Order: sequence, then structure tokens, then C-alpha cells
Amino acid sequence: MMNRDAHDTILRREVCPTKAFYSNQLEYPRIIRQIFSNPTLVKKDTGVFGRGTEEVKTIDVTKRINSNEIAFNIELGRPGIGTRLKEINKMTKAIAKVGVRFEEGNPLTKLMKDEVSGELIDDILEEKVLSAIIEFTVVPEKVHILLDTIFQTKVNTVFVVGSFSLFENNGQTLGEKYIKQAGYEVSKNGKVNIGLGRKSEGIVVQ
Amino acid sequence: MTHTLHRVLELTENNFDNDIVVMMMAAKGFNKDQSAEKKKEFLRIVGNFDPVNFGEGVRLQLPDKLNGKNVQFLNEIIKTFNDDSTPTAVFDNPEKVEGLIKELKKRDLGLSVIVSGNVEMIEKLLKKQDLSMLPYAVEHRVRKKDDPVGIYGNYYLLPSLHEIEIESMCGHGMIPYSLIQRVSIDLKLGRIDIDSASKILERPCSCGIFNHEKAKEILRHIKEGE
Repeated sequence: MMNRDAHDTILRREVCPTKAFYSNQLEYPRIIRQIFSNPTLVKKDTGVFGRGTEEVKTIDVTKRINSNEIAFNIELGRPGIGTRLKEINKMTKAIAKVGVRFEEGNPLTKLMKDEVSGELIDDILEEKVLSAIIEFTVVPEKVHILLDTIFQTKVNTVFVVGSFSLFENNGQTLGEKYIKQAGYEVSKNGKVNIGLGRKSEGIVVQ
Repeated sequence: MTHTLHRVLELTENNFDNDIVVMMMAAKGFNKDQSAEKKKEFLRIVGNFDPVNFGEGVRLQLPDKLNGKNVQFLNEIIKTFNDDSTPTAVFDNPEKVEGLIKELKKRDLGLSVIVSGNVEMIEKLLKKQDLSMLPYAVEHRVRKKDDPVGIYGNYYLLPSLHEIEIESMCGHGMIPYSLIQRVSIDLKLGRIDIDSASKILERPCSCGIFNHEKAKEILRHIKEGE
């Protein structure tokens, strides 16, 4: 059976000249697969395409983390393997014990029974998705135990870890400093928000 | 993790300053309403700096005949823009990006601009006298020490590094390994050339940041059996 993403790609690229492929309406819980696999859907809650939130991309406008916080994200299923949500559940429960603040706008956070335990609701655990991103922030003092926990958690898929924080006046970031202190390292490549964004005039943020 | 950060291109033998992604994004509830015109302007400016590839972000629905990524293609993409669009482009040298940032700073469109690639190079570029900008924030991949790949969990599920390098050039991971393996076989058997292989591999990617120049470099390695 063709997977969901291949199906959507065929529709988007108009591969079939006779339109033999069509997309039918999915019902819960199977629709979870589409939400976390099809990057062309705009999520009503996050307002963005893809599987997570805007993360560092609009931080110069949203100011969603402050200068004494470090944001982390763990994407399970990438690159190219996919994951059942029960594997994600193992990771969310493990890091919840460290004491993280899950990003409220993230679609996975909305699927948790509660954010203290990090446990996902039961009837979605067997759903398979292309990937899903757990997003959260921690205080610098917890970076060491957090990273140890992440890398020691056994899951039957692959995952990658990202982190972002604001540049300080000395040109360094809090994240890089504490990650290195914890005995880990950051990649040479990265995603730099160059600070050209601003809130539209007249917008009052709640 | 996020979009371009999956790229594992720093592993390729040469430097990775020939793979720089620039994108513009608006934030819901802050500056997204009526942002479409600004994004159109962004992509028009991008077109002046000779990108390797560009796109609308996620909803590329144009037929293959326009896949040459020319001016006509750029104008067709711009027509489809709305407030949800996320214009993207990939460049093969820092000088082009420097010129682009200078122009974007001058035009002051007010939306977030994100530059992905070698962070040290991007920081140096921003500090140059004619830009004199300080970066606002950076996102990195976190790795164990002395681990250049940074993929964890059950990594025995993964294919070869070259296949991961190509797969990760789509920000959403939409290029399946099965397609990369099929194209690699056709390439080795001489059924297709490297240019065609790169174009076939880009097709499932809807974000416009598939770097053809880099892909060709990787495909040459695959063809030669390295």
C-alpha cells in the first residue's frame, strides 16, 4: 500500500495524467499520520506548515524564549525512517522527568495527557508518522542531565537533537556554552536568525 | 529539529560554504497578516542574486515543464503566494548571500530572515563593515563528542551516508531512500546522467532548497562507487 506522503506527492506533482489517485478524508486516529507526515498542511493551531512550530525562525519577532532559557527539540523518525508515536512517548516521558517546559504551540504537546508526565494519549500510540518534533525549554542548569537522558533513551527509530538560544553581547550563545560544559558539542552548520523581523504596528500580543 | 538543520553536508569532502539556504518567514499573530506582498518582494530580490534553487516553501504545484527554475518559474511561484507562504532559496557562494542580505537590510521588509549554513561563515559575513549586523539567535544540531553525523537511536535502520546527504536536502525529508537507490542504480548503469538524476531527486521536494550543485557532487561520488 502506498504511504501517505508518496500519495500526496503524486497529487501535488500531477504525476498521474488520468487523476487515478485521489485523497480521501481520514478519520481520527489515522488522521494523525497526515498531520505529522504531510508538510503542506497548515496546522490550525500553530499556523505553520510542517511538523513543529516556527522555532528559531521567527524568534526575533515572537521573543518566545528569554535570555536565560535554552530551547531544545528532538525530531524522531528523521532522517527518512518514520516512527510510531509509541517511540515518541518513550522520549517525552523520559525528558518530562528532567523537568522541561514543553512548547505549548507544538502539535505533540497538544496530544499529551498532561505535560508533567509527558505521556501521550493512548489511542494514537500505534500510529506511524514520517517524523514528529518534541519542543521544549530548560534552564541551563538542567542541560547536562537532559542530554544524558535523551541519549540514553532507547527507541526503535532514529532521532536528531537541535537546540537554539539567543546571542549574547559577547557573540556567544547560552546554549552552546552549557552544551559544551555538559560534554556534548554543537554542529558547525546552523540556522541563524539575522534579526530583521519585527512585530507589525498596532498588533497587541496576548 | 528544523528544516535545513537536517542537512549533513558538512560531511562532504569539500567545504560546505557552497550550500547556504536563505528563507523569509512571518509569525502568526505578530506580522503574518498581509505579509504575502513582502514575501513576493523577497523572492523577486532573491532572483537578482542567482540562486541555485528557490521555492515557495511547501506548496510547489507547478507542472514539470517549468522545472528549469528560470525567471518565468519565479514569476509563476510568486503568483501563488499568500500569507502562509515561506519563500526559500539556496545559494552556492557566500558573496551572493552577502549581496542579498545587504539588499534585504536596505529594503527593511520587517519579516524574519533566516540564513542556514556554516555558522562561523555567516557570523563573519554579518560583521562585515557594510552590513555590521549582529545575529539574533542560532539553532544548532546537538551531538555527542567526535560524532560528525549526529543521528541517534536505532541507526542500523539507516542507509548509506550519501543517501542521507541527498535525503536531507529536502527540508521536510520528502525524498524517499527508495527513489535515491533507484536513481543511483540507473546512474551507475548509465541509463541517466548526473543532471537528470539530480532533477529526478528534487521532484518530491516541495520546499525549494534542494541544492542541485551539491547533489551533483554527491551523485558523482555515488556513480564512481565511493
